[in-house]
Amino acid sequence: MNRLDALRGTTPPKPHDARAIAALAANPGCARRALLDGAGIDKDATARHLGFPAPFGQSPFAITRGNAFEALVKADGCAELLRMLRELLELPVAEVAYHDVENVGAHLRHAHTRALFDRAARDEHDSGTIYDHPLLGLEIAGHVAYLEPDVVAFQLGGRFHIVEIKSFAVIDGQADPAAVAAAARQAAVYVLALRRMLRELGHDPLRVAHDVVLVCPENFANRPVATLVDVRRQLAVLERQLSRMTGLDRLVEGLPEELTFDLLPGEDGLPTRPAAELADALRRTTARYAPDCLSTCDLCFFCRDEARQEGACDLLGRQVRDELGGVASVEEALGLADGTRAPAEGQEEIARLLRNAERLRRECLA
Amino acid sequence: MSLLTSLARLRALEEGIAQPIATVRHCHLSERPMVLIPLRMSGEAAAPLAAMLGTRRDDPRLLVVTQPRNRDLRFAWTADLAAELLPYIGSFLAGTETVERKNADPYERVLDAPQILVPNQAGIAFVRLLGRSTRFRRADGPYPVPETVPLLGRWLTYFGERAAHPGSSLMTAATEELGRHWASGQSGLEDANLAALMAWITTGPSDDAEDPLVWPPAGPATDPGFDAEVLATAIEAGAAERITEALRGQLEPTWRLMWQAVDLLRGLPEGASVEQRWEQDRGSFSAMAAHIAEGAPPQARRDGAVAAASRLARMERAQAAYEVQRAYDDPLVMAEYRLTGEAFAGEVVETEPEHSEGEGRSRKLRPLVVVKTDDPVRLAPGTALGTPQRRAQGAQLVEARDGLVTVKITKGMGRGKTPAPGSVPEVGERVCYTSLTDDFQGSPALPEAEATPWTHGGPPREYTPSDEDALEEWS
Amino acid sequence: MRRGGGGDGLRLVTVREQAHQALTLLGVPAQPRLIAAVREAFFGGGLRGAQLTSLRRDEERSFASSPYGRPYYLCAALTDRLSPARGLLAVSTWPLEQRMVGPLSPRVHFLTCAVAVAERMTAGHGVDAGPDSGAARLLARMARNIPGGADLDIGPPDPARVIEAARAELAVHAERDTRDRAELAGRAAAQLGDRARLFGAATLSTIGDRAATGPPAI
Repeated sequence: MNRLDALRGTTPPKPHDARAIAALAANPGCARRALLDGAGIDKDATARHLGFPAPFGQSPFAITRGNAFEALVKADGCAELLRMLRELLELPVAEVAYHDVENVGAHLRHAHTRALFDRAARDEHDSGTIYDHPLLGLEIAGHVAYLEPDVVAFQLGGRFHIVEIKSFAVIDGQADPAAVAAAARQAAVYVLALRRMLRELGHDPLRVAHDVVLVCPENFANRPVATLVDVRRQLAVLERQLSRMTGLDRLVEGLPEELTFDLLPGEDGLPTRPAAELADALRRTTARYAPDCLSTCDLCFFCRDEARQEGACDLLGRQVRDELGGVASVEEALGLADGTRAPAEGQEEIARLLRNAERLRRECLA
Repeated sequence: MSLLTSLARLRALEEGIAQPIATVRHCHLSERPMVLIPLRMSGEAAAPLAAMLGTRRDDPRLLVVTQPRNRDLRFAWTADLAAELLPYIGSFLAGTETVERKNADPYERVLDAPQILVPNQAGIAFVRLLGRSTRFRRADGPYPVPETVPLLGRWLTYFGERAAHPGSSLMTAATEELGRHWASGQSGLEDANLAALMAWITTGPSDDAEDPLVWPPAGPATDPGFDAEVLATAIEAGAAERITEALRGQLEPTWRLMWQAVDLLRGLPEGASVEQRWEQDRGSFSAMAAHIAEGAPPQARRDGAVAAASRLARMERAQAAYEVQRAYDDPLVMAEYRLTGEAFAGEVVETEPEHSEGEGRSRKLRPLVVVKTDDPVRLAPGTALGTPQRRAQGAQLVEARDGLVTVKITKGMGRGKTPAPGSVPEVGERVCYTSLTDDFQGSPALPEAEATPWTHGGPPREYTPSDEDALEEWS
Repeated sequence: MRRGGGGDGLRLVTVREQAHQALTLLGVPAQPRLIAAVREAFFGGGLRGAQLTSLRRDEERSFASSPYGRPYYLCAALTDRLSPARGLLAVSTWPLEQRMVGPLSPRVHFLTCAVAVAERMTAGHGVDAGPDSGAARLLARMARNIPGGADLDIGPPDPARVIEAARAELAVHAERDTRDRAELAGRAAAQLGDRARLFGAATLSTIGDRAATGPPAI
């Protein structure tokens, strides 16, 4: 993995959070992203330095609201959470033991979490029921990412359940599907991390349930409601992507020896690397831009700009790409449509369709 | 998206300007539309922050919640919104016409109906949620609200639901309508940004459209940077005036864009079937108004099984009819079907107007028309055909070979021995035939609500809003 | 208890006194937001949870400069690691075991608070217990999180019923919780100096460290 560290150079590694790990599975075919994430490169800082800052941001109101809702769910000894777990999962009344893992200093929290869960999995009689903010670790391409689920609940049939607290509303039994999907992807990261921890400790990893408990406000009030969400599919995607990340060696081998994405931070931590040089270095790796990247990847504007300069059909979205059946560049597709370009082998059918489409458009717009 | 649209997008990308994908306007456009741009408080499901609205471009009304966490101010805002929208809606109820119906009593239909224009789909979703959060409130009891608030909630719910009805123009999103008429050189995802789409259509693509400092988002979500740097500090300081002016600054650019979008759409001639769909909108709106006047309860939280199934069936039929009508109204839409071989167009090269079938009394006129076409015809002999040129006629494909298609006119020829003048295309005329037709199977046989099978939950209890609905927390 | 309770004297009562009154009513360590809710319900409003966030630090500073200079301090509740429990306030004059937080204590605290609030409502004490009063709202919120404490959220909660339901669940946890806290109190008395006994020890070890030498002591 030394080559990966060389790609990052002197810039400190950026730890992954669950959201970032979940996003790894969003565009598995992108070699540029796989390399940057594998090397622990701060994509946000990279994008900003390149002059293409990511279009993401979270409103302080949304953050405040999220924190307030989590506090409410956990207030009074997790009274609301216990009610929901009793209703949803038939948690026995005696099971109320609460461990605030966040009471432990940050540097010890991971070890403390391991010890607590080891004890719980051994079924020691006084193991806890609710673990508040435990700290899990997950190895991503040689680097350990530390992850902090909102709550892990135990003692529901001897299994661990990830509890994910989100402040988007469930209205009349329905929530924004995109928000639920994102929460499920994120929770799957916690499930995986906890399963790996149990396996390392010599326990059955399947004692972590693939059903996660999603807690959201119901309707327009603050009152929390819990739902079980099956994350098996998200887990499968995630595991596939992570196993691919361990195959980064092959991707690295294809790169020039001296290649690095180092930002060369100065004493003030600000990048000193000439932006144009960094952009050139990045262009040595292959990206697979799709409009979906605009909501998942910090580098999206840089890659979109590159796709524009290349005149790639990818700019228009997967649907157009599929429609064009493998014709990758705008110029090529239009050449086939105009008849100024002869179809290559295998392109006869799409060329015929494009010529026909062009004829029809001209006729109708004449 | 069809290949034709994909090609238009490629062309837009090459030429740096959006390309038309329609030759007529497929939506109704009111003389007096209500443009409504709502903004939501970040992190909340349906907490309003502001709205700019009005029927005249030089006279926008700005409504602001100057302390979004204050529930009373939010209801006051909703009452203000009602004071704008309810009179607008009510102004269409005066003029009506009597519509006779087969097997049913005649009913009164408004001569014109309101039309609410919002910037994007998310705006429609927000309006629906705002309706959901207010329609159960009560003017009496523990948490009283002005009585216009629940009434507005019912109307917003109605408009929100009707917006999902294919081809309806009672409430529609600017980005959706623009995207139906122009193909930009960006992805559909990026088309949801009104400023970006408008730039593609008018002047060519501009990265400014994505810069919230140049073009603030068209709502309902606000720019997180604006929230952090402007709104949060103004709210903290309790500076109502500052908040109002800041939100005006966020809304005004979109207000101008909305009216530009109206101009662009107005510049297109109206499609032939638009009026028919608007008539259905007027009927639907009239029924809702009558429903409210009769004192019916607010819409239920959820449809029962039968209501849900019949709604789904209605939407599917509306979708199919909308697609066919657009193709009949617009040669550029029909071209999509010509490309896939479900339609063909060309010049009439030969006719046999007095061709007939049967003998004696059952002898019928069945004129034959031969069309020369460059289109790839993929229709089997015997396929029933329709034509935009003579919508009342039905025809059948007899034979298609070597770019020559023989068509037999089978319906709409009358009882005469010779065809009426103009009823059979002349040699040299350009015609188009398609297997798409607008006569669909009737509605599926669904049981009455009282006979809902147990597999679908049994007969639903009649919906009466409960105290719990009215007392629902609204924090 | 009645001094400064509502009415004219309210403005003269300091934040720490207000918190002290609420904590005395509850009898167990509590979070600022609950303290504020109790104040609002029984002593008149005015106290915000945010005003209490720095209170513990101020109290510790005061204690450090002149130990036991005040009749009481608003101090920390202590975790099984004898560190200050996050976000909980307690009263220094309480017996040590009353300020200890074992694994079951958060639940026991909650149930105990529910009983205290319900008892205070039945006792009257000039409390406006109408269905829309702060006290009724507070009790309703608590009641719905206690098995058998409320009827499907309809109508205002019945204090007697809440007391009965809370006591029923308390009976399940009480023995072990009392044992846990007594054991912790013993450790705190043996290991901590005056100041740490009130405001908690710095966190140093994890139970993992101790696991090497035997089962953890809790």
